[in-house]
Amino acid sequence: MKIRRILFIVGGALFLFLGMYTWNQRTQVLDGMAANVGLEAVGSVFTLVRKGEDFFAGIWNSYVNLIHVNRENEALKNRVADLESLLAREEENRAEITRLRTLLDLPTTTDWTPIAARVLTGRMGPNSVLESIIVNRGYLTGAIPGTPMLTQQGLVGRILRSGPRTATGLLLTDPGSRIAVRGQKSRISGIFTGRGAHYDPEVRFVDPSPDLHEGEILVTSGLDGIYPRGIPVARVVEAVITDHSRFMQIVAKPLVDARQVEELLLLEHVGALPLHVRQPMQSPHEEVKPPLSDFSPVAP
Amino acid sequence: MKTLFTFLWLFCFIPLAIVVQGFVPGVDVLVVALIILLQEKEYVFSAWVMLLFVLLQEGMGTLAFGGAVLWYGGLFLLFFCGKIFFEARNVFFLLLFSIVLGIMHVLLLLMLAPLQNLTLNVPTLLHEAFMQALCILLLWFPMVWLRRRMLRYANAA
Repeated sequence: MKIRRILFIVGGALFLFLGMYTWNQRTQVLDGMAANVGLEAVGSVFTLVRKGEDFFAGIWNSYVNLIHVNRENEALKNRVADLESLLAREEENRAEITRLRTLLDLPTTTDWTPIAARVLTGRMGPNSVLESIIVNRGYLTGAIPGTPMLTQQGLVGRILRSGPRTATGLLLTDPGSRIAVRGQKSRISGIFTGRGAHYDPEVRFVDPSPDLHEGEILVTSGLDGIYPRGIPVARVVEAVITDHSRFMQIVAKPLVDARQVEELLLLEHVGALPLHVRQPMQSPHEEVKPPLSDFSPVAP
Repeated sequence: MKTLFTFLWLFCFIPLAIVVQGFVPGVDVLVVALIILLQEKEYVFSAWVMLLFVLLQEGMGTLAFGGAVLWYGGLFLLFFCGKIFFEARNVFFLLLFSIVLGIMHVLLLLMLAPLQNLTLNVPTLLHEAFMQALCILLLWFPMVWLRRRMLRYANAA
């Protein structure tokens, strides 16, 4: 009798669980609640931890570790001067491109505003199966699901799930990640597919071509409608034309090692207005950065 | 008095456990508090704490809601089954329990991942299971010692 009661309770619990699971898959109500409460609580804890780290690192860097600071300062000043001259040249090129586009009457591409974000921690907890990171931005502060994440070296991934001020980002190395890419020089398109943290990603559905070589940089093509075109993604490390498949076998190494990333940029979608009409979105506590309409591939 | 103390203990333990979880991917550190509460026969309190832990784990995880419910539900079930055969505070029971929880971690993810079309890396999963069992064993002893000592001070005060 007792065993029958236990079996009845376990069966009832399983039935309730399956009901809850399927209901949540359809409505996402419980996922939203977990993101709003659980993810936010975790984000708050790690924000405090990072602030503590910054405080002690600040004390160490400002008062204790001052050796070689003068020498480093001189080197940095020289570097800033070099970069300023380079920037001036690039500004000229950019202005020229805008003029030529206007002349050709090309439609202005959809624009994006970069928002700085900090990586709070990597994947954590028994439910974190996907290759992911947690960042200190949420849907109230510019990180809605689908928002691209990148650094100055290249693409990192996209936002997967958001709480109010904390979000989980999916890395491009995750097996579920798919990105439409194209060779920077060869202009050949393919789908960049993650294979987990321990293997380099591959590029699928690339038609055989002798133009695609090892060492070529792959950039986003923008065809997937998620990422703006032109963001550097990876470098081809293996490109082989095989007899047993009608597509090329391509392995590419991401330009950004996501495990080393501490800060990143989120690209907030701000609509398709022309550059001269649009005003950048501004929060009273944030430094405004100029909107990015084009992405110049950065040499690694 | 003891309930108030347990509240304070959890208030200190939870943020620390979350930080530790950030360093050990795929491992649940919060579970140690739940095991200690169950061993002290605080069943109703454990159930409320479990609800909080479910929200936290589901929030920081990347699976659809349900994995943490099964994980903690399975923990409760295994604990009460194990209690029939062993003394719950016995070290041998804890050793077995931590191994079984490690195995349950693997089985649960193998069951849940296909439901969401996810690919699992089995070596990583086995490593996580080992770390989960080890983590419970390593953290249980200092946590119990600390809790008993603090409780003694609180009672004396």
